[in-house]
Amino acid sequence: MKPSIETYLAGLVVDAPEDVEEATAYCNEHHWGDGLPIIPPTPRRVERMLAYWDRPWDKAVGAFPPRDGEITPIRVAANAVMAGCRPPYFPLVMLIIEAMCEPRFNLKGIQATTHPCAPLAIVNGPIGRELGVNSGHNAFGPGCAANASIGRAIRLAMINIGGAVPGIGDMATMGAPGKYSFVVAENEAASPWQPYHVDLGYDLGDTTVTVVGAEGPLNSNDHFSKDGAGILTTIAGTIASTGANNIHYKTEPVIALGPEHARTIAAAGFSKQAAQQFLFTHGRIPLGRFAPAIIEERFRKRHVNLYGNATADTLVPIVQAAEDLILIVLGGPGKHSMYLPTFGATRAVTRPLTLVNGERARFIDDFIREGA
Amino acid sequence: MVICSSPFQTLARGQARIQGVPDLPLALIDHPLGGLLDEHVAQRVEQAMPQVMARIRDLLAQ
Repeated sequence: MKPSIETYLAGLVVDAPEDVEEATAYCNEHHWGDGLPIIPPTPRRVERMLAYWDRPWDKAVGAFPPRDGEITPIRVAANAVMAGCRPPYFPLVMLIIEAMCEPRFNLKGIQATTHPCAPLAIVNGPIGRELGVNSGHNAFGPGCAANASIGRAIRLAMINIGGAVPGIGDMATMGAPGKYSFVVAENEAASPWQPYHVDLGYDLGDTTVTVVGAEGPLNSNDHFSKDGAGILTTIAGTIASTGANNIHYKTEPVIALGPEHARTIAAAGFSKQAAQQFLFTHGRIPLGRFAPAIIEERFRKRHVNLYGNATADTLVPIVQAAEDLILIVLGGPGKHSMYLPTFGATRAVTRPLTLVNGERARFIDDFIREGA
Repeated sequence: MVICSSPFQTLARGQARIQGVPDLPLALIDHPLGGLLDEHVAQRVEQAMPQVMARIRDLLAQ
C-alpha cells in the first residue's frame, strides 16, 4: 500500500490560492517560480505525482545548493506539479536530479555561477520513448509536454529547493533560454551508430539520463557537403570558438548531430569514435586568435609545458581528449547539427533508471506495481 | 575574512550562514573584480584594507 499524503504534510503546507492565476501571482511574489503560470501543488496533486515513486517520499536524496535545501521526493513532486508534469514523468525528474547531485557535476557552481549554463538532460532508452520525450523535430524547442515539463520541474526545483533566485542565489550575467527547460532524448532510431548509453556500457533496453552543464546550442548548417569529412569540417569550424569554458577544463561538451548529417558521416565510413577524433583534430583554434590577456593568464601561466613558449599558430583543442566530445544523434529531417559548450568546471553524469529493488526499469508502470 | 564584490553580498552571506559560519566577516568592494586596470585594482585595495585592518584590530582587542 502506498502511504497517504497526509502522513507527510506536517509543516509543508501553506495556505495559498488554488486558482491558477492567483496561485501564479502568489508564487511570483514569493520568488517560487520561473514567471510562467503555475499549477497549484495541492496535496492531492502531489500525491498523484508520488504514485509514480517507489521509494520513501520524505527521504532526502541530496541537497540543492546554494541554499542546501533537502531534496526529498515530496518537495520535488510539488515542483513537478507546479511545472505541469504528468505523474508518469516523475521518475525521470527524480533521476535527473539525482544525477545532478553527484559531486563531479558541480551543482553548486552551476547554480550560482555568472556563466549561462543549465543542466541539459539527455534521455536514452525505451522509457524516454514510452513517455514521448521528443528526440525529433524541434527537440530543443517547444511543443512537447514531456521535454517542456520535465525540464521545467528541474528548474523549479533548482529555484524553490535550491534557492537559485536571480541575483540572490543564481548570479548568471544573462542566463539562457535553456534555464527554463533543457531536456531531450537521443534519436536512437535515426542514428547510424549505437546509442550513447550503449557506448557507456549500458544495455539497449536500459533507460538512462545524462546531465551536462551546458550552454545553449550553436548551430552548424551544411546543406552542401555530400561527404562525411565535409560535414565534420563545417562542425569543426563551429566548435573552434574562443569563448567556450570547456577549452580550459576537463569536461564533456555535446555535439548533437542531425540524423541526415550523421548518416552522411557514417556512410563515409566514420565510426562515432572516428568522428570524435576528426573533430578533436580539426576543431582547434590557433593560439593567436585568443586575446593577449587570455593567452598570458589562461594558457602560458597555467600550462607552462604546453603553451609557455607556444607560437601564435599553435593549435588549441577545445577538449582535452577526443572521447570528451559527447556525440549524440538528435532532431528530425534537415541539414543541421549543434554544439553545446559546457560550464567548464563540470563533468557529465549518466545514471540508469532503476526500481527500488535495484532492477532496471523497463516500463514506466513498473513504478506503480503493487508492492514495488 | 572574505573579500566580496557588492553584487555577490547576498549570496556570500547566505553561503556563510548555510556553511555554519554566519558571522564570517566580509570585506566589501566595488564590482567588477576581473579585467581591471592597475589603478582600479588599487582602488579596490583601498576599499578592502580599512575593513581588513579593522577586523585585525578587533581580533587583537579580544
